Amino acid sequence: MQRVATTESSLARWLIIATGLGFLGLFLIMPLLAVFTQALVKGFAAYTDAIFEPDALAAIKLTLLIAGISVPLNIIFGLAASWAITKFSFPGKGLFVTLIDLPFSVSPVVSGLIYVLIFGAQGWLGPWLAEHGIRIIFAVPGMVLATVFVTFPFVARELIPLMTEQGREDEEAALSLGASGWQAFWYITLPNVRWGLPYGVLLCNARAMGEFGAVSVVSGHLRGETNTMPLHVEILYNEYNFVAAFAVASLLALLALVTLALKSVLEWRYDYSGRGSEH
Amino acid sequence: MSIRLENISKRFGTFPALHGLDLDIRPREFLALLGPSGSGKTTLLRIIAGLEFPDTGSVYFNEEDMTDLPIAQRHIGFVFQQYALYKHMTVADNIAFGLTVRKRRNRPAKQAIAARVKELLELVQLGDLGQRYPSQLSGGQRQRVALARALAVEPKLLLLDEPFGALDAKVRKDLRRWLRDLHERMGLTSIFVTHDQEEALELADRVVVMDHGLIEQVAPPREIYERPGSAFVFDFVGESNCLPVIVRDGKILFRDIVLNVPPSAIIEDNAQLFFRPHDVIQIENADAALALKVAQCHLRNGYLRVEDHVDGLKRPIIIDLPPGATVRPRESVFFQPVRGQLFPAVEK
Amino acid sequence: MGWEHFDRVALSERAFAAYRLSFGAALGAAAINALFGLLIAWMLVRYRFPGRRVVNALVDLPFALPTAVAGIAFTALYSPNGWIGQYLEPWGIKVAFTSLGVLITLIFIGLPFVVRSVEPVLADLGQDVEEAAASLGATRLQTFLRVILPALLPALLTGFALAFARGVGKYGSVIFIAGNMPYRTEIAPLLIITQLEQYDYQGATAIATVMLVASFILLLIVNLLQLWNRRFMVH
Repeated sequence: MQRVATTESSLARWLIIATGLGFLGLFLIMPLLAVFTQALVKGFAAYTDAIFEPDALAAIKLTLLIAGISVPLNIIFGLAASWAITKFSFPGKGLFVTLIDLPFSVSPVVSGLIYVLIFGAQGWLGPWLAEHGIRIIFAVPGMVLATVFVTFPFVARELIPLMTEQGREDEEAALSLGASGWQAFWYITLPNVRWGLPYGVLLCNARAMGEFGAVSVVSGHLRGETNTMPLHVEILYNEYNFVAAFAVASLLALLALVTLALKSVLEWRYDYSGRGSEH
Repeated sequence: MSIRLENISKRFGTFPALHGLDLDIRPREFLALLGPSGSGKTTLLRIIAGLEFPDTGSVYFNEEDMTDLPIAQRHIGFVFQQYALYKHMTVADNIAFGLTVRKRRNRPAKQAIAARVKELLELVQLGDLGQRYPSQLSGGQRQRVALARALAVEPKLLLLDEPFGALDAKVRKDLRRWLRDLHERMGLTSIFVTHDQEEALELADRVVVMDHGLIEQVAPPREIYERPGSAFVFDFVGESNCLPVIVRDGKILFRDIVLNVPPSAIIEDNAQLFFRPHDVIQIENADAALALKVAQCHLRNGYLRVEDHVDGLKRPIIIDLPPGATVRPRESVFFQPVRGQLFPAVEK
Repeated sequence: MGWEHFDRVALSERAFAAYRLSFGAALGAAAINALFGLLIAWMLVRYRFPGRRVVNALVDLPFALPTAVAGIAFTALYSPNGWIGQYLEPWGIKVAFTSLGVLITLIFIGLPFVVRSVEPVLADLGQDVEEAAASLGATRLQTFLRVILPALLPALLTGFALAFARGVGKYGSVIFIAGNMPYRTEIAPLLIITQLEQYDYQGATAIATVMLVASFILLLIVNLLQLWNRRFMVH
């Protein structure tokens, strides 16, 4: 009997694994499979047709555009915020940190609502914007704003613990040697977070491309104009155009799988280089 | 309780931790397992406890074969290096744990448990700290709680894994005296693992010196110190000097100088001579003595200590001379060892 | 905004039905996730089995998968002629377009939270505490219930709170399967959107406010529980 004091009996172990895998199979694998099979249920030709349909292509382009703007913006914001929080002390820092997590705890729909309340035709800035012919809500800028808000925490949350752990000493050493603030940031801070940053960017991007609730509120659902891929999926589905809906959805699912795979690789190399990360 | 270990071997993957060990432990003995890291002493302790299982060999408690029994059924007490106290329970609940997990028919009544906890708290001199949490105690106090918890189930055998390793020097000294007293009073058989030879020599009835998975010597402390059974033991326990020597015609020679040490073993040709720093005598005659340059010289433990590297030897030579010795800095001092032990030369 | 308007919209029967559904389903889903999430975290940390790495990566799928995709996938699975739905139909169990469907989708949403909260704590748990319990005669189950579980409780609560918060606000995955019938399967976020579509900004804000306040209170409770729990976990 070669049992070590701190493991369960084989039976218990296999039961736990079976139950766990069964649960995951039911809740993770099956939906994934459903998406792909439903997309291909009428054959590959129907699949490609659905994807290359003009409105779908427009949605794809819009999704990429929004992500292409939001993610870099959030990288900058995230870096700036983590930089400020971890390398400096200032009054209200605690509040600031809490605010960073705000998008996480607020429902996406509520986030969208807030934007409508501020920028919408009847909102605070509504009249002023109308005067200047600027459309934010029910147009692309509003969607970008909503996406930026909702995905803001990802980069910051990834970088803050990392930067906190690293402390200020490296930068202080650089400054004492005559480097400017910018040089310290570029040559010291940035390389130090070279593993955490891609990780945060990955998550930020996945959310940016897949965001539904907030963007839905803000978009106005104008077909071919203000529809991102997730919104387009909704429209197709509501029209009972299931194959097309699942076809577009499958692209997003593929994106998700690629994101997970990259995340795994990054995690592996991240831990390998001696630092772990927490979610 | 007596314990017998027969031919115990254990490997971890490709690493051989123990090589066919035999050991007898007498009832009520306070035994120390002493050795450097990697010597296998903790592995041996854990095999006795039932936390690990040997690849070969058997473990007998009072001649009963325990080899396949897991720890939960061996009725021993185990004290861990980091105490392993339950942070979410009070001190009293920690101590009572072993009693509260017993099956219903074996479990004492609530009041009986409370009384026993109180008794143990008094025993470890933590009388009124029962309702505190471990995080509120000092290291020494935590260790005593760990001890009380292990004793609550009335084990016949107490096993301790470097119990004082994480404490500072003074606390360590106090606690180990106290542990020894406890052992006497409760009539336990105790085995503890340590890499601190001072601790082992001070407390144990017998010391088991281990190295690289083998037992080098099992003997009372005095014998370990005065008649070490091997070069390793001589070196590990207490301070020592080592000279490569040649034994010829009953004489011990170090680079043409005859050493005035009676040969302690039947060895011819190449050998090693070990001697302690204070087992030397200063000699006037430079030709018939070993020379040591007085580069470093300071008072230590009532002796005058001279230390230097000698050409061709890896380790420095350390000698302790009486405080009034004539020693002049930057000059050489001449000496001869008066007592030492011969061991076979190391195969290169 | 007048109180009367607030009352009419945010405290109406319909609104309450929506709150009950959103909060109730989120609570239920978070509870189920707490149980199975613990199990899965245990499995991933303690055991070696083929495919463990893949499973570990997949746990984050609900994070990475766009909510709309999850929404239509679950609807497809559980509608009466769906892969799973077709087996439940004869038993009279309806999932799609019922609150059960909402529950199931929210389980998917919250799955990673408990697992990822518990994993690091479980991994950090020293082996010696469990060995100590064994040395004192405890069975494996006793060790789990009295030694391991209490140590995991703060992380478990955190995961539960996060899953709950996420579930209450979720819109994208849920609207497809919910059926969105007022009074029965209408989730609160949808109600907000309905108000918006009718240009009743104030009504929408009212409902949002109620949701925020309720979430805030519930999260406060969980945070307090955690603080209380952490009292004696300090090193």
